[in-house]
Amino acid sequence: MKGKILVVDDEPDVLNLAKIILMKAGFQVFTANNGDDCLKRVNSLQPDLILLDSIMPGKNGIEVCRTLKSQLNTQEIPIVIFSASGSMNNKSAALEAGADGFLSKPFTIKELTDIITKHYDLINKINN
Amino acid sequence: MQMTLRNKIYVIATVLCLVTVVSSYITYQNFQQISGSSLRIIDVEMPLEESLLGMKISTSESTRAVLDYIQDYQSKHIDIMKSSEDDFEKHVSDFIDLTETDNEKQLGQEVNLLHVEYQTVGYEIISLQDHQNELLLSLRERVNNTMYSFEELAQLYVGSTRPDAIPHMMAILEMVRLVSELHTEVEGVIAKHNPSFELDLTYYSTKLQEAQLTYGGTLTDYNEKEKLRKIYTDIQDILDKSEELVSTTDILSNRLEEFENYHEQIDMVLENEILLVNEKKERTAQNALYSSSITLGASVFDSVFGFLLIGGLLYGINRWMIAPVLELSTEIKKFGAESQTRKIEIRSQDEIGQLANAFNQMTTQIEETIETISKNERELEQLNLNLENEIAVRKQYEEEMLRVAREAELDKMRSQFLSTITHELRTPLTSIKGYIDIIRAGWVGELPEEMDELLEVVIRNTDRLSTLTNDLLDVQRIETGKLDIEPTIFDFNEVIQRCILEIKPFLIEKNQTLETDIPEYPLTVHGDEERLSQVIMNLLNNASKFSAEGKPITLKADYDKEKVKISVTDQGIGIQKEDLERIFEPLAMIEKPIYVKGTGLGLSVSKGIIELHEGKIWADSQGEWKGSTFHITLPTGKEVKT
Repeated sequence: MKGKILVVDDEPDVLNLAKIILMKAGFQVFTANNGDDCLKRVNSLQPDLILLDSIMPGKNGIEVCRTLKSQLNTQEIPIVIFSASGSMNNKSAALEAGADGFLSKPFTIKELTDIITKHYDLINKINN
Repeated sequence: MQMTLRNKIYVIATVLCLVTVVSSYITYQNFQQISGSSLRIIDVEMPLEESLLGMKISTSESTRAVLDYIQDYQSKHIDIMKSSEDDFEKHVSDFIDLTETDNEKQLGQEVNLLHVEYQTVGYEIISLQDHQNELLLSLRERVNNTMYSFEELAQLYVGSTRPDAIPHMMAILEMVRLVSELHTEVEGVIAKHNPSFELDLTYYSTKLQEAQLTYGGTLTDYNEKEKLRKIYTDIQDILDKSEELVSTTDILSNRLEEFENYHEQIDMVLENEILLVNEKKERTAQNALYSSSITLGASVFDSVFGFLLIGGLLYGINRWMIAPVLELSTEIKKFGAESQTRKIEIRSQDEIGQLANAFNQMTTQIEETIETISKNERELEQLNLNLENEIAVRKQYEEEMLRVAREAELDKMRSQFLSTITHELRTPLTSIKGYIDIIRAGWVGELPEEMDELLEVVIRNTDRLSTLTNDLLDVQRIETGKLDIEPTIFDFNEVIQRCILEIKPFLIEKNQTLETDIPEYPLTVHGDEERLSQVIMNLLNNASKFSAEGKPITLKADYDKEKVKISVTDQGIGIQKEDLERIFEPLAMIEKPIYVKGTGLGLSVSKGIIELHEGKIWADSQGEWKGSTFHITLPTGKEVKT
């Protein structure tokens, strides 16, 4: 069993899609449907990776990412931001906020699996 | 002494009073003179003239009375004559009493003497007249007696047979005729009072003597002789009386002449005196007139002098008091209106002079103040001008800022809107694509091959939608200059290979082939790999899309004069010449139904990207249905200093 991944998205369909794909890839998948929910759960859950939607009502992904990266106990968690805005600027903003990876929506199974696996493996190698 | 206004007024008033007093005195004197003259005329000259006239009238009355007496011998004329003489004497004594000059007194006495002479002659005439009258009566009596005597004598011979009767008769008749004729002549002389008429008495005397002799010589009878002698005596008496009458008449005539001469003399003297008196009166009147003229002149002089004085007074008041005040007020008004240098000429040391002086001091102060104020105003104006310029500049700047801000705001809104639209389109696309992916991956069970093919169509169209949303976003970014490129140096061949792989499924579907003419060596390019890949994909997609099935597509790439040149050629619908440039404009396809397959966004995005890389993109076409070639040139990586 691979590690725990927290997927955050306000769209239940997308959230479910990511969950299906990542579970198929062998991860334990947890979900949150907004930024605040994510921040609440992150401490108790201690996920190995967070897949974060960038545009959400309330606290958006970029802000959540910045918060997580500024907290000592969460700043080590790799964060991949995925966004439907599909813009390069968005990608820049994400990387600037401390995100480790960026994925445009829509995505293929392979694209999602590849990027998550890549960052999960990376962090695992460092930890080991 | 300080000539204050009050002192000036006192002086003028005093002078005016003095002149009025003097003028009144002069007028009074003149009036007295004139009234004196008038009184003298009334008191002296008029009675003198009256008494002179009285003398003249009484003399005339006397003369009239004398002449009347000669006519009809009535005693009343003598009475009139006497009373007239009394009147004359009275007038003469009045004249002598009234007159004040010795000459006139003498004249009065002379006239009186003349009048005495005149009177004497008058009385002589009357006595002569009486005498003549007596003589005449006596003559007539004698003539009557003689005629009676002749008749008596003649009776002796009437009816007589005496031979001498007829000659006697004849002689008697001759004598009667002569006496009668003589009598008529004498009467005529007297009646005519003509002294120049000479009665020839000698003739009658001779004739009567002849007749007497003729008759008497032959008489013998005593009686007859006696009678004849008596007739002779009478005739002699008639002749004597006639002679005396004629001489009396002569004297009377002379006396009358004398009388009239005296009358004329008196009249003449009186006339002269009357003239003299009148002259004197007129002279006096003229004197009075002259005096009154003097009075009038004095009055006029007084008036004129008074007017002049008052005029002078007014002039003085005007000159010294009103004019300076008016000038002062005018200057003050002008000073108020023009606010420029005003100095009043100070002519006197009185209150007005002091006021003018004060005004001048005030104007000087005001001028200085105005000078200061205007200087300050000029400075202020300059400051204002500077400030206004600054404000204008700032306003322009602000407007520019505002415009930029507004545009930025609009851009922001537009890009936000587009981001939202894109997000909202992509979110369902994500689900569609993702779930179909899961189905096709066979995670929910084995699926037939035909279904997999159908789902692939769904996926492909989903990708097209996805690309469209990307293009929309990109167009907006290019237009607003917000499209960022992240340039790196890379081998363009790799991009081409990736694109070929990506386009392959589409080509296979349309049975199209892609021929490539690319070099073995790397084509180094400095640019954004993903964006340039997007451009190549766009060109390949277009080539496939606008070509019929089975039509080949050619892709060439190589260095060309320090650039990398890439071209994509197809044998599709081609492009009309006039559209070669328009196709790079956003939404160009919408206006041309022939390009209905395109969104009209891809080429404009491609152009934007290439231009951001300082490259060029253009199209060639031989015309409709003759295919087209799209060219790109890009700077090589060698040129870029990294």
